Amino acid sequence: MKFSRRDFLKASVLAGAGAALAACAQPTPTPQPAAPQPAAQAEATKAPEPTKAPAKAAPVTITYLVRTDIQPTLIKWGEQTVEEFQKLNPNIKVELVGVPWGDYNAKLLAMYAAGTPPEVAANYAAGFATFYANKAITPLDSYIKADNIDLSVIEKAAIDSVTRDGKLWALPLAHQPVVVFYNKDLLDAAGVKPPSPDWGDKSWTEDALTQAAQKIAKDLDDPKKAQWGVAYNEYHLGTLIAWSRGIDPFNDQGGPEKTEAYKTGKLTAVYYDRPEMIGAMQWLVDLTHKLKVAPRPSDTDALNQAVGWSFLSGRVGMTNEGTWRLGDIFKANPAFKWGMAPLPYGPAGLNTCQLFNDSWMLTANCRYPNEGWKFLKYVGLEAGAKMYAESTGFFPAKKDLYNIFFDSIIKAPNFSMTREDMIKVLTGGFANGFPAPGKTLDRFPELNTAWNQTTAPMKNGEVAVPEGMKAVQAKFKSLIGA
Amino acid sequence: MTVVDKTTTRVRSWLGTGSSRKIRLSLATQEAIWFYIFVAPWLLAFFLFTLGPMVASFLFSFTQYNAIQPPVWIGLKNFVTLSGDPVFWKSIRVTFTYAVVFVPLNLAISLFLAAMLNLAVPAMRVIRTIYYLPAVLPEVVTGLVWIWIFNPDFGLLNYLLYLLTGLKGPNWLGSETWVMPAVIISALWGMGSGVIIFLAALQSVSPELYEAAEIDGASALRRYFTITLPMISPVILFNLLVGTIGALQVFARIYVMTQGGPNYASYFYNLYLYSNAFSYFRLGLASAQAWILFVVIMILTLIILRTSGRWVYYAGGR
Repeated sequence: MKFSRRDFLKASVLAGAGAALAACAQPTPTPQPAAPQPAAQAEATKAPEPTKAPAKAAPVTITYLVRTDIQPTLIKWGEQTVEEFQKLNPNIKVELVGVPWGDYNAKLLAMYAAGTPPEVAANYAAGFATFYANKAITPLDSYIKADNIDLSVIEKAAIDSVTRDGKLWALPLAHQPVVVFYNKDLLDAAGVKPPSPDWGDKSWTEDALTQAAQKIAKDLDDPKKAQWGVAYNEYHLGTLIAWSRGIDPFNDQGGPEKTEAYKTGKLTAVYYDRPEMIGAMQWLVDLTHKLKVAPRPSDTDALNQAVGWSFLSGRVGMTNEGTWRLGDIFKANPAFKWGMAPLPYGPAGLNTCQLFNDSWMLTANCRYPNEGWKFLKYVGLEAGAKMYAESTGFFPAKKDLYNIFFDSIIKAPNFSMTREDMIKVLTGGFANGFPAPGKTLDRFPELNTAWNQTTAPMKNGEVAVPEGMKAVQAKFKSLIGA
Repeated sequence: MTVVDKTTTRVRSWLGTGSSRKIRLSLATQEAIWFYIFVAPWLLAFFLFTLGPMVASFLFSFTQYNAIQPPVWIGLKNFVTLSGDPVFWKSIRVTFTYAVVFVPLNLAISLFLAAMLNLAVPAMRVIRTIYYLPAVLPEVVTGLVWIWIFNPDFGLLNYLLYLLTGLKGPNWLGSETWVMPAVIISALWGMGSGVIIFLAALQSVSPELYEAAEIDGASALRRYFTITLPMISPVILFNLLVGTIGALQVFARIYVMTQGGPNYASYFYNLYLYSNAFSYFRLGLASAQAWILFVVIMILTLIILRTSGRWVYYAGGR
């Protein structure tokens, strides 16, 4: 048969178009007897009934969305977990999808929109409450009951923070308190004694922290030598500095325990312009602009850009951060001696800790919820959780894994505390801790943007604090429609 | 029979070129069919990845949609919500302020640089490459570089300002006053594409025109305004259109450099759109924003094109 070049070209175009059409088609999920029928949209978040797997189930592929920006620990843990899980469950293939933190929400939403949400994902970026409010997750109670799981193995505060309407909506893997990290070399050089590891030591106050910072700070006019006493974070929506004053920006009755929004997720009242809140912000701004012991936002940006976290530059005496920063310390292996201390007491005689849980969720409307649960259970409660405690530097929520985590810190080079003191600091925060608003408030990303935007002029020293807090109050009132 | 033979036979039978088909198609019809087959991949991609999403986003703009649950029809509520949203109006003000300053500056400086790069000096190819280099770098990378340059204490710009004037430079990215100039300066750094297009246009102007003008005694300035500018005016129009559209769609560099701050002073329209869609789970509202921007850009483009007849010269007619 004669076949000209033109004919060949035409046939190739047809074949190419066919291939393109085939590639555009939705992949057909492998028939899965254990998977539930597609739920009605109104019942999107209703938990499917766990079913017993048939004698020989067809292999299925589930998807697992993991953060890639915490290199190399988190992605390595993800890969290791998947590998070990697949060995134990040859009929379940886990496709690991890696996304940096900044793109996590976008990727997750795109996967939902495409009708292919990952079976398992973490509550990064938006926070558990936002996922809950948007009906993005599946309650786990029926699975927990079917598998006879004792949830008391996990820190209670962590379980409480992912429980809504009496149902458990996620499995906490990490439960991390905010503590003060200190550079012992800088403290020693300035003649400052490291703070007591005891959360009940009332001599460790914000004033004591300020005085210590004043002794450490020097050469601030010389970018090459500048050394700051403290870099203090106000944490989620300014709540950390409010709580130590016995108040909360979202109620006028007392601390965070009085804020109904932390239970419902719905913000209905805001009190940023009250004198105590203005005082809290004034203290924070004064550290930078009046006392000149804290880096300006631009200094912090530059240090963060250079070394990932300003504390690792070796030029910051103290900083308050969540224990998730331990992973950064392990990775950077700093040349200076370092340690951890409780948060300082505020003017109200309180040092309420802020607790951050990183929870893993079974998504709503996913294709293989039963296999997803099996994997989630492995990640959150079985060997995956152990590997997490061993390798990531994140404080595990499962109590029997605490010692593995503590061992990893003790082994870290230049860590300057005894094991006993370290445990006091790390676990002491739980007793008087409260979940971070980012994990409990709906619309947190939007609220956080508003907070960061409206407080920037104060933090940059361009607007007086009373005036700035009025603007913050007005902004939040407009956001919540109050 | 090989696979290729089978395919060929089948194709011929479909198109009536094979011996098994009785209906004979005219050459024009056959060519038309082949035309559509050849453009099919592009058309397919256009319908699937451009027109399809556009139609979908148009429909979503009338819904409450979070990508997780099915969209709920709410009519014009998204547009009404946006009309009463101060951040939406702020983002429009920020974006238009940027566009009004950046686009003319970009055109003027690009044209000036193109004229400079058109001179016959040694190592011009290397110089041209250097000027074009920032245009090929990803915006995220250039954004990170500019964060360093603009740092008030450690940054290169303030260091140079101090060396030259003895004055302490501003907090470029941390000040509501200075953040917009900083953003514009960083954007101007990537003007290489416009420069290259202008350079090509300048080199295409016929030397005979200049020779004739010189013989008639026209000065260099006169030659520039009466020959160069009119001859390259279609390219100016092109750069104006592309620059305006690009300025109204700024996103990546701002996302990296300022996240819209401080106090929304660099909160560009697309940054708010992205936040609504992917941070706040409001894809319906974000779709409405996208369509408002689409309409605004279309109107501006039409205005520019309509008025271009007064200042654009087409040597060969339009």
